[in-house]
Amino acid sequence: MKDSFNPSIEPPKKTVTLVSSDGYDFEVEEEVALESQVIKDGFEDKAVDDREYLLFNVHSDTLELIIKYCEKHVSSRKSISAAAASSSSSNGEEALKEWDEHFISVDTNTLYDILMAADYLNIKSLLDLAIQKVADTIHGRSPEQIRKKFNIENDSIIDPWASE
Amino acid sequence: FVEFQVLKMAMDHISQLPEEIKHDILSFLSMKDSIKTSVLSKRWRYQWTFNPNLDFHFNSNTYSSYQGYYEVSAINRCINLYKPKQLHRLHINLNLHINPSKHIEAWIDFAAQRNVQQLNVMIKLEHNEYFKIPLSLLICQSIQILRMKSCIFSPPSDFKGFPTLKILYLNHAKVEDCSTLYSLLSNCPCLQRLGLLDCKFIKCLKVKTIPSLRNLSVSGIEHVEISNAPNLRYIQCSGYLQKLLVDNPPSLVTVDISLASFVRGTQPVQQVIKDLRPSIVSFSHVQFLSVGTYFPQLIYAECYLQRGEPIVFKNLKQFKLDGKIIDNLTLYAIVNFFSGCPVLENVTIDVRFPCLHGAWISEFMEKECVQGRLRHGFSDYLMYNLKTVRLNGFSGRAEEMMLIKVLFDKAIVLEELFLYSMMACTTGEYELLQRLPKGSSSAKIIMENGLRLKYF
Repeated sequence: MKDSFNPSIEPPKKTVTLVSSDGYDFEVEEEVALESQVIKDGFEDKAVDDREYLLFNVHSDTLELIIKYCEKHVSSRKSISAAAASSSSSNGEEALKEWDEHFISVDTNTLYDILMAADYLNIKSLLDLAIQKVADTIHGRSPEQIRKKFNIENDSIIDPWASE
Repeated sequence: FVEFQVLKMAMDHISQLPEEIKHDILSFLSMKDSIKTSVLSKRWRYQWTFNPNLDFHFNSNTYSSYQGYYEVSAINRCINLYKPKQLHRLHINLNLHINPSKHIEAWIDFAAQRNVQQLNVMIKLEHNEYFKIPLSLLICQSIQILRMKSCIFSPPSDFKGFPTLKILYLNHAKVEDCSTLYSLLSNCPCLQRLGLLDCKFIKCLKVKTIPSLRNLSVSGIEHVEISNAPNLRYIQCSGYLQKLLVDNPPSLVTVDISLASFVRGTQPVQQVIKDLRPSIVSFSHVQFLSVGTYFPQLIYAECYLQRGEPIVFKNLKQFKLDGKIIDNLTLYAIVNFFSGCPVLENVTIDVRFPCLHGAWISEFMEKECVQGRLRHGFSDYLMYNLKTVRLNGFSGRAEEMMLIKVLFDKAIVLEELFLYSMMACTTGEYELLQRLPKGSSSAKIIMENGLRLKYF
């Protein structure tokens, strides 16, 4: 109630610093960082002023994408539960799905980086999204098309499907 | 130049992914796509054998000259190559002209030993043959979904049940006696869906206390009695049904008996309707009901012959009726049925289906009318909640036109009447419908003719 008299004074949001493999700092809100199960697991044991995470395996380009994903999911979850609480109909989940689909439509190298980062940080929903994307890419394509898409070198001596 | 090289030489990242992620990718693929990866490169040759899901769906009648030997050996090859200690899912869909019960038992054994969670063995064998469920499955504690066809289910007396089983479907299974089935059901504390389809020797299902059960589908069971199933939401029955007694579970929302029938052969109608009321009253609180035309007919006959109170479906919101409206008596029965549904919002009538047993019931009622015991006509009431009516297979028959006229008259908040017909209606019919007096000023007629939508 006190804050309502002076809206400019808000409690500062707790933040966490994530450091990418190439040395860039990313300051993100606590709840965004907690999307990662790895960060969440050791979170309470860490001192409040020492909440800095060195992510040796994640490049800044990828980390930026991962943070974008987590921020979106945290904010969407809030708006979906708010809509559910006020029992107003919302297509929040649909919209988020669409956003996810757009988000994961990247080239194979970026997709690989996201896969590795999601695995390293243990973000289940993002890992599933990326894995589904790889599976979708394999689905319905001929072996030759899959090789081309993922730059797989055909070192088999006999290719039984070569005649196709 | 060096940069150009780096850009051009894109890496084969996917092959270098950690093994677990590769296995996850495989688990998201269909069996066909999964096996397809074996020709990508040497590295991928046996990668697919780590896919924790094995699905074998064979089209029936392909390779019919092999009588199924091809399919059986294909499954055996895949199973022999399978590496992991755990298996998530095994699906087998197969029609066979041979009975390789030894192989089938080995497949189930293989799955049970790897703590399978989902096991579908839908194998159709010729000449009503069966395969046995191996003991290893009966002690498998991990199973969550179990669907079986053509199996003999005869567990030993000390069978402990499946502690985590959620879904159980037995199709064309041979269950020696009902007590076996009951001991199975009472030992599955998590069971949510139960399907018993055309199981020989089960003619009667009396289930007491399945707190977790949500969905029940049965076919070929004549006597269904469920008590103490507080979470039961959905019941579907097909085939001849003598009794359907549900102990009024408050959560029961949907009853679908559109493919069931309370009448068998030329059984005297009096006898049918004598036992009918307790069954219908026991599920009269549902919100969604799907029935065949015989249902309102029987209620109509019961109501008049027993001179009892009409049965009220006090919560019924959505009603679906399959069957032709063969004569005026059927029409009266339907209109009369609606009078007992005070909150009905949505009605779908599909007249493309045959009116099972309808002619027989009509004939009986006609006789009763002559004898003066039955007086019929449209009762006087209004429908305060009916918003949508859909008539599928509309052909402009006199009974259909009459039904529309009555509904227009009684449904005072009707919004939309959908008429779906395969044949093009004549403009004369459109105009006739349009001129009918309507109790609701906002009622719209929407003709759907194949792909064409016509609004009036």
